[in-house]
Parts: sequence; structure tokens; C-alpha cells
Amino acid sequence: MDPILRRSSFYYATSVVTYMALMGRYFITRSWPVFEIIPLFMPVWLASALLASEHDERYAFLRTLPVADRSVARVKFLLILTAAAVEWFLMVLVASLRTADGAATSSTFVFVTLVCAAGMLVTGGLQVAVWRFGLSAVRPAVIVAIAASLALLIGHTFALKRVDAWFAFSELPPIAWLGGAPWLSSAALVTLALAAYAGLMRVGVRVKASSEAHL
Amino acid sequence: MFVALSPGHPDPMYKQVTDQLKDAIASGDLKPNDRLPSVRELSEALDVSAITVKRAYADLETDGYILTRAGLGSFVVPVEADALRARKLAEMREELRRIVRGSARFGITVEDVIRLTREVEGD
Amino acid sequence: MDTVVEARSLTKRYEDFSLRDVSLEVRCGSIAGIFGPNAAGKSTLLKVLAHQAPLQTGSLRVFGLSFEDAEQELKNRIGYVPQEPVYYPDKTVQWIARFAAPYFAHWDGAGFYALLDQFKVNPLKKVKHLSGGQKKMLSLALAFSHGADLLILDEPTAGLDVVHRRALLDRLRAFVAGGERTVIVASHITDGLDAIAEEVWFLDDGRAVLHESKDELLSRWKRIHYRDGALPQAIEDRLVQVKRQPFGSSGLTGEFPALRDALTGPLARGDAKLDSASLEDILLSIIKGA
Repeated sequence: MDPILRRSSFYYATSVVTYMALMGRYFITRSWPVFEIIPLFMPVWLASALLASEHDERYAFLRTLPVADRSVARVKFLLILTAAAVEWFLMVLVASLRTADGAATSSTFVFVTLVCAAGMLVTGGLQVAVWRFGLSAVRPAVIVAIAASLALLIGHTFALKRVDAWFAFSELPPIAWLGGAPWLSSAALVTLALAAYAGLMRVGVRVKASSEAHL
Repeated sequence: MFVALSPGHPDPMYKQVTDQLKDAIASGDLKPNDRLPSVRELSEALDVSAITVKRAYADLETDGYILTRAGLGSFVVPVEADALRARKLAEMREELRRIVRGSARFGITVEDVIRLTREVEGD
Repeated sequence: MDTVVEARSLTKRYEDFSLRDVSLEVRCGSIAGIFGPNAAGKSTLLKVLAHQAPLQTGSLRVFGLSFEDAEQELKNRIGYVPQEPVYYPDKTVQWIARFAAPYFAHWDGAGFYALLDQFKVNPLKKVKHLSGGQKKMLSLALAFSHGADLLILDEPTAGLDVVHRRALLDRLRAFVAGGERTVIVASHITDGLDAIAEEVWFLDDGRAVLHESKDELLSRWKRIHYRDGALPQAIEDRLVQVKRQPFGSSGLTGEFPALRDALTGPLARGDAKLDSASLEDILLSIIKGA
């Protein structure tokens, strides 16, 4: 395997495996509100994988190798896409297994697709930000955002269980409406997300080529 | 007095100083009983270390060109003109030997060299 | 291939520095030396030439190709050594080589390890445990080991001891000896690279202030030592960097061929002496003006 790909994929592979092993197992063992909470943690894990990968990366060295800069940028984008896709696929798989006992509903599929798409796009955006401004400029903000997200998610988890009138994201009206035709909606959302991601990747390739902050 | 040192010259700096001061004395630039600049003065002017100048002055004294009197300075010793001429001739002998040997390689005879010398004299 | 690097009007603006309108042509088989004070733009120029930093305006063709069209091919043919080489700090030298090798079309592993041996760099050492000079030597070993036709080296002798510096200079001379390969090197003059440079560029404050063959430069620049008053005033006025001392003055001239005749008299009389001007003298004169 291409050395750059191999080295970077380590972080994403580890992230996917640990996410699914530590959190994803609850999809199988628990009931409500597992399909509300666990997916919401996916963007945080993905962003952490990006930070870890970028922390160890040395783009100045890669620039001296006969690899087109475009290729390096595309490899990074494909890794984020693959990690998100694997996690989405596994979530959809488990969700379809658990519709039988009611833990997952039709809006679950829409919700999971939305969250994975958002996680993928946000992480892609962060990747571009790292290339444009450098990791040291971006990292503090990302760490704060991750910490805040974790705090909010934990609060959300508590509230769902203890506060009667607390809302669930996966049951918001628009999502429920899309859940009316879950496969169609998911397909549409996936297509939109991929199109947006492709656009983001084009931007990312240009940004990386013209920026020196990440070197 | 005119001294010009060259870092790239094959001779070490102290020897360049010695040789040029000897030339100055021989050519009359420095006259008998003239006071030489102090070691510090000369080293500052030439941008070399005082040790270099001290060594040069020591060599000049050994060869009998100058005399150093503690507290007063170094002075040019009246050297016989003949001795100075003899030294310069010895130097020139070396240069001429190089020219004569060298010119033989190109088929130039000593007569050619002598003729050339007379011509140059007239320039 | 006659002209290996053809750069026209390169401009690159940073916050506090700009490379301004630099044009450069390097012939195949030559060693081009780029000299100048700190922050003159030498590193920036080399980074642009090696496609390590994007250029803002201007055009650049290497081996007749542009980086937009042939980035991979050009990077295969170019060996670049940065001023501060960067590698994954926790990996060993050997690991770095194994990482890089598959990307090169003509990787010479045997040659690489032979160079490491000569440079006394232990392949099993982690990058973070290497000294600055050793990282430089790793970078050089990589640059020499993938069949490059053009070496672009940024202060390659920095951090090298005298033995390794001499070995490098010899190796660079051997590199261009066939006339098929080229070297562009940037450094401070005191690094000894001025000895092997054939073409000389001086950069100052982002601009190329001089370009000449070294031979021509050294033949038209001389240092003249003279007794006060021994030179015709017209000549003395044209000297630069004049130093007046009690026992003789000295100055530099860049017009020696034109002054040669007028100097014959004073030289013959022993009132003036000719000396060579070093590249450093010349650079200082040009930068500081008269």
C-alpha cells in the first residue's frame, strides 16, 4: 500500500475500531436512547482522528517526494470519507437489525445518515482549515469544540433519561418527515453529502497547494 | 612607508611584514635612525595581531636592521648600502634564475633576455 | 538539454519579506551559486525552484517542463535539500528511506546506505536523536540516491564538519563532471561553496543584484593597495570600500581591465600592489555601494 496512505489510515482505522468497540457495542446491547446518543459522538471521534493524524504528519517531508500535492490532499480526504462511510454503514446495518424490536425506527436511518454526513463534512472542513492555517492555529479551537461537544452530549444523555419534556434530535419533525421514506431520504442525503464533499475536496486541494502554513 | 599585506600570499604574515620593512629600509623610505611605528600602532594599521608585528620586529633585529630600546621604541640601524644591495641582488638572482630556466623551455636564449632587459630599461 | 532552469520574474510575497522579480537561467552541467546576506531570499528562491512553495507571479520551467503539468516527473529528477530538513521525528533513518523509496522511479538503496556510512549517520537512529548536521546529511543522502539530474541545495554545508564539507564539495564537482547534471546551491560565502560555483548570483533584499560567471567576476574585481598619493586621482576616485591607513591605503575596483594600463606605472615603482578580491569583498561592495 502507498506509504502515505498506510501511515495516515492507521489513525482513522484506530478511531473507527475504538469508536465501534467502545460505543458502537451499545447499539446491540442497549435500547432507547442508544440510537440518539451514540451516533452524535461520531463527529467527535472523527475530528479527534484528524487531529491525531495531522499532529504526526510532516507535509514538508512529503513535499520533497515525487508525489503530486493533489494526490496527498485526495488521500487525506478519502480517508475521512472511508472512515465516515464505514461507521455509517455499520450503524445502518445494526439499525436495520434492531427495527425488529423497536430500538430503531425509520427516522433512525435518516438521523444516522445526517449525523455521519455532517461529521464527514465538518472533519473535511477541519482538514482544509489545518492546511490553510496550520495545525497549531486550528488545534486549540478544535480541542475546545470537542470538549464542549462532549460536555453537551453528556448533558443531552442525562436529560433524555431524566427530563420528561426533553427533546430528541432524531425525533425532530423534519427528520420524522424524512423518515416517512427512509431509504429514499437516506439515498438523497448520501448523494447530497457526497456532492458537497466532492466540492469541499476540490477546495481543499487548491488550498493545500497554495498554502505554506501547514508545512 | 608603505606596507601591504596579502592573506593569500604563500609567505606567512610576519614574514611579509619583515620583507616589506627590509625593502623600505633598502629603498630609503625608512632612513637610518628613523623611529619605527610602535608594535600596537603597526598592528592596528595593518589589521594583524601584535604578536605578528612583534615577531617581525624580532626578526629584523636579529638580522641587524633595527634596534629596539626598551621604553623608547625601535630604530633603523644604519646598515651599509652594500649589505642592502647584496641582499636585494640575492633576491633578484633567484627571480632571474627562474626567468632564464623558464625561457629556455620556450627556445628563448639568454641574449634575447638581455636584449629585452635593455629595451625595458628604456620604457 | 541546454537550459535546465528557466525562471522569469518570480515574485513571492510574505508578510515581512518579498522575492521581487527574480529571473534566473541555469545551464546544464554547471554549478550555480546563490549568495547573499541573511533574509536576502535565497531559501525562498530555492523553495520556489524546487516547488516547495507556490510562486505568486512569474514563470518557471525546469527541464523545459512546468510543475503544473509534470510535478511528479520533475520531483523525481530533482534532489532538494532544505535549510532545515523535516522528517517524522519518531522514526528511524532506515524507516524514512523505506517510506520514501517506493515513490522514486530510480531509487538507489545501495548508494543511499553507502552515503550514510560515509557521512557516519547510523540508519537505526531515530530522527529526533539526530543532530542538525546529521539531518542535513540524511537529506543529502536522499537527494543523491534517486537518480536526480538537478540538485537544489539550501546551505548544504551548514552543520557539517570540515571533513564532510570537503567530501561534499568533491562529490558535487563529480556530480556535474559529465556535463549532464546540474547543481544549484545557496549559501553564505564563507561555507566554501564559492570555490565550486561557476555561475554566481547575488541576492539582496529579495532582488537579484548581480549575475555573472565567477571567472569574469574575479578577473574584473581586484583589491589595490597603494601608497597615499601614488595613484592618479581619477583612479583613486573610482575605487570602492577604500580604507586609509597610515602605512598605505587599499580599495576595490570592479573595473580592473579598464584601469590596468594606468596602474602599470605605480605597480612597477612598488607604490602599488595588486591583490585578488574575494567573493565576499565583492558582495559587500555591491550591497553597501561605494
